[in-house]
Amino acid sequence: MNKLNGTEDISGSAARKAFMRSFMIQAGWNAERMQNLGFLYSLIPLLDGASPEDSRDILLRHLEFFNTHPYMAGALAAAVGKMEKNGEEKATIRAFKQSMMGPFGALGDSLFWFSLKPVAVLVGVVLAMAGQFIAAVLAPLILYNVFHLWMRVWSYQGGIKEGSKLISRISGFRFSIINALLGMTAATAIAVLVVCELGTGGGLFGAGEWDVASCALAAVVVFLAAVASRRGLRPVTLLYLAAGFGLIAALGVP
Amino acid sequence: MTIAQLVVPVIVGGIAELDRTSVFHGMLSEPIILSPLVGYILGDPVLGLKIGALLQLFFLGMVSVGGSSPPDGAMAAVAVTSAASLATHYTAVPHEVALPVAVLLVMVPAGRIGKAIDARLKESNVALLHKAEDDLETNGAGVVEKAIWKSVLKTFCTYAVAVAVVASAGTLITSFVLAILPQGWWKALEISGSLLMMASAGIALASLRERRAFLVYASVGICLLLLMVGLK
Amino acid sequence: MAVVLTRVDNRLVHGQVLEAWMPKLDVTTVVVVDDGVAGDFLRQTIMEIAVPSQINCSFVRVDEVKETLDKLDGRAQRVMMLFSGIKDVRNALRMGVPIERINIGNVHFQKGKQRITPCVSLDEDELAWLMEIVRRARVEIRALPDDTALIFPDCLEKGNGWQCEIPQKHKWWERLREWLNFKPT
Repeated sequence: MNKLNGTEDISGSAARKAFMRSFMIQAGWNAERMQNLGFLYSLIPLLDGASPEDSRDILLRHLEFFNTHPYMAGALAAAVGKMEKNGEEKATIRAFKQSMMGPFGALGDSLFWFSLKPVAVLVGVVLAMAGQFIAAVLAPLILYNVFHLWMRVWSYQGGIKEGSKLISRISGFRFSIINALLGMTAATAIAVLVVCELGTGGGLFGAGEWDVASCALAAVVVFLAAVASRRGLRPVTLLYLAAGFGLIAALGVP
Repeated sequence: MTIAQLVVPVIVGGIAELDRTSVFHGMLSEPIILSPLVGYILGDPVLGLKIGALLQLFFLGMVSVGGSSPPDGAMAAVAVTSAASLATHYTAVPHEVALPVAVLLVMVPAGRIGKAIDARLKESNVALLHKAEDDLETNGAGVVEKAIWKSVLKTFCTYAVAVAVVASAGTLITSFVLAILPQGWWKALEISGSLLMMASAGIALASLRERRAFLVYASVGICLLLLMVGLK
Repeated sequence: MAVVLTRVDNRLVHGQVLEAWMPKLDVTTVVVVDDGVAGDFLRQTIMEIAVPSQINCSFVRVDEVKETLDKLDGRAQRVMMLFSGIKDVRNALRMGVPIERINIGNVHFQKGKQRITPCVSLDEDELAWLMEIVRRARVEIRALPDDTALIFPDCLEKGNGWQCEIPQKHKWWERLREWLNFKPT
């Protein structure tokens, strides 16, 4: 069904073009079928061997709902392109796409949004509070994007080369251990931030006096705020409560 | 204040919003990157760093998962930084006072406005999709490319205009409040500023998804405090 | 053994489920009910990786649900059942599986369906199945735990025709009361 040029491998230039396009996977994000336009946009170069009718059929077929993590969506598009090239069954391709969307999204979310981003960004915050401008801006960008771009390339190569076997490549990756390590690093970074920088008013890394009592007090205040937030206190409410408390306490003291 | 200093943050904001919603997703839209950048453009890099740190801690856990639109950290970053920086130029108020005022007045509304715009854009792209779907039969693959680039242009322009409006409004409101603020409140606002930082750090800690995060925080904190006692 | 959530979600195991529902309800076991997944080792592998290691995962067919639940009975487990479609829930109910409350999370849009909420689109068949289900269980539409639950089919009447109006979030004093009582909304 809908065979493209049979057994030829996807050409390097087509693969590169599709990879570049996968950076825009969220470009046409719409409320009805989410990332489907971006998916099609990334898929088009991979269909370059096909006749116009064939490629039009394939595109119309893939207009359905699509939503996954942006970094691995390119890999899914590549895998689907490879499967279309090999002329696999329509139903198989559809089932593959739809069943992989969800778990890939969950894995990417847990690895990037919930584990790597906090660490990279908190490193930037610690450096920012220490007054290092260049380092605070560049360190998170570099820390994060090295891994981000590696994941894009690695998963994309899996999709292009292996098609549906992309799953085994992804499942070999140790997500849970890395997520746990990154999460604990993030908590450590917050502890460093609070004790060394917030409590001292920049004293420890900047010039000036610092005393252990105010650092301990800052650590405790932050801990209480975190507990309240976990319990369900909305961040906005907490913010204004803190500001109001500070104002009243400072103004109330004669 | 040159024209470039007022226009460049708007363009930077537009690009950052593109990074946040449509293209690349490489953390260019994070407050810790955006705020210092905007602060540097406006002449206040240190203020930008501090605002960036505070906003980043606050918005740390507010990520878009499965199609949701979280409050917009990038819009807040540009708006609050330009509000604080420009307001300190127009009024003679020190940074430590302008920071909390700008954050309290501008951050939350800017975040919500960005979120609302995000939701509206997502709805309006549905029409683009339907048109592309109808045209695909007759015109082939080029239709998809057109739709994508139209969407990118629309996103950039909408957000650039929104950033300009929100940042200007934020600056005006902040300047006004700072101008009428009695000097006796300055010290109190400084203290509020520190408490805001700590509250944001607490929010950041609570937003970590790692189960042992609190435990690690407490242990590392105690170790560091003991280290500091030893150093003293 | 308590079934804390029975959810209908096209994407089965994904971000909303893992990050929002599982922690909120303190789920210890996930039962994924789908004939296709039950026979597909690769799909099971990728879903198992996504689920945190301390949560048990099992993949069953619709006709095996009853005996799976019976086997779990007596153990102190908090079970979440994930169905991929409304038809499977109806079949499970017909086979005698005791379900009291059903949560509809994500039903994707396809041509010919109507968008009821941003996450749920239904066609004529699914509406009919839901009408049958509603006689035996309570049906709500809610994507995330913090959203307000739309009770089916009441929400259809309140809106105009098919569209469900999303009601206002809780007022701040209601939320304050919930928070003071340490109760989730």
